[in-house]
Amino acid sequence: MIYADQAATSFPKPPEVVEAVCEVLRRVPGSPGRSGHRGALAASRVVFEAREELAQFFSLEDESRFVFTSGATEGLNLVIQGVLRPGDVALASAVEHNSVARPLEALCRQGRIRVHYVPCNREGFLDLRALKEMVKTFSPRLICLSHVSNVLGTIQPLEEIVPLKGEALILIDAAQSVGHIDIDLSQLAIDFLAFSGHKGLFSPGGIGALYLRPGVEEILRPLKFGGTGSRSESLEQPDFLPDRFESGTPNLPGIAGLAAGARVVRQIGLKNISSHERLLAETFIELIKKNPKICIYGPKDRTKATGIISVNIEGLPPSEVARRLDREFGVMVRPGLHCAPLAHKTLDTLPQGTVRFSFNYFNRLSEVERAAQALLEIAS
Amino acid sequence: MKLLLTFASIHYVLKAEKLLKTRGIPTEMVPVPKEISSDCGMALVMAEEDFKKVKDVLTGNVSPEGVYPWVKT
Repeated sequence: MIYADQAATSFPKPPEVVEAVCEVLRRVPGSPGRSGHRGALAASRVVFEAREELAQFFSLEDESRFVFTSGATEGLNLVIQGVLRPGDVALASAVEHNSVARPLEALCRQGRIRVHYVPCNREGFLDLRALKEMVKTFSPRLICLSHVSNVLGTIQPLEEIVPLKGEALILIDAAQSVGHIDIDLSQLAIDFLAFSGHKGLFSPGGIGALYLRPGVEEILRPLKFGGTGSRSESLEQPDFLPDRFESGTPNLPGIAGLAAGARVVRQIGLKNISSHERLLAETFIELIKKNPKICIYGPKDRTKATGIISVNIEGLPPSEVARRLDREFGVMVRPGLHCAPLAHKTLDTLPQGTVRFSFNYFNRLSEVERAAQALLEIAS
Repeated sequence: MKLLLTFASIHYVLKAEKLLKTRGIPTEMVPVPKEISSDCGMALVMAEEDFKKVKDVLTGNVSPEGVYPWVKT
């Protein structure tokens, strides 16, 4: 059995993560911030220490800049629905995931905002000249960008893109980049960074976080209002971080798992992770490109991509290829549109999409070779 | 005498506790007395003579919401 669907969710989960999740379920009674008894206090410490772990992960001092969410999707929705005002313009890349495109389009359909998509080339890279022009023409309030394309693995050069934002706020969808490549929040003027735990940070699903640049919380409306355990005498939502954006009982086992996973990534080292993932992708491509019937999408220069590789076999629908990979070879991949119809429009792979292989640090080279062999056999 | 410091939420109580602990300033975590707030939060109690040091440590990191004399033992 070969798991090559790491971009959907990572597997296996490291024992440290499993242990951290179980430890909370077994030993922590109480809800964080909801009482003064020792159990509630222990729960509060789990959350506090997890936030500290995130600050350390991104080499930042202030842990209160991280708000826990149910995943990247909630973080993206919080920002998109929370900063855009009637009449605003938003820009998004032409390879965005539906977690960005759908909330933007929903606001558009209500007649509240306008959205323009910044073109990308067939390797998935954003057209920087077009971005510059569009920032000038539309004076957008918000720019949304997938750091790494979930279809192609393409890494957008944030150090070149972020300085072009002008007066706009920039929201980075880091669902496919956190835990795979370095993101320097102290050097880049990123206003919001949304990510999930279950992909690059090896946590269970249902947990993620949103990073907020100092000051931006003042212009962000909460998506959820409710109990926070703080200022309970007031009917008004607290105005301070992180409570303002964290109503309701948090996903404590998930938070513990997220922190444990981030620690595992720190211990392995992002450099080791990205170089291993690159080796896997390069090996895979080297093996499959022998067959001209296999079309490989994404950057030719794999130093600019992660362990995600989209392919197609001439004359075979992606769903059929994926079915055969699973049934005949035990290789698990994801066919279709990967919740990113915009990316497939850019690639000209609508309506069938592609077959996506995605490898991570825990995939062995031998697995990648076997997966490539399986694809070659199906193509022959 | 002792002083009681209240904070916006448990996050800041824990942050202050940690900062003070790393500087060797002893604190005790207690529920916020009902005369101060009806909230179910926690507060930090410390010796009055440490207060100047406490202020130095917390300034720029965590601001207490209130400082009260702590009479209970």
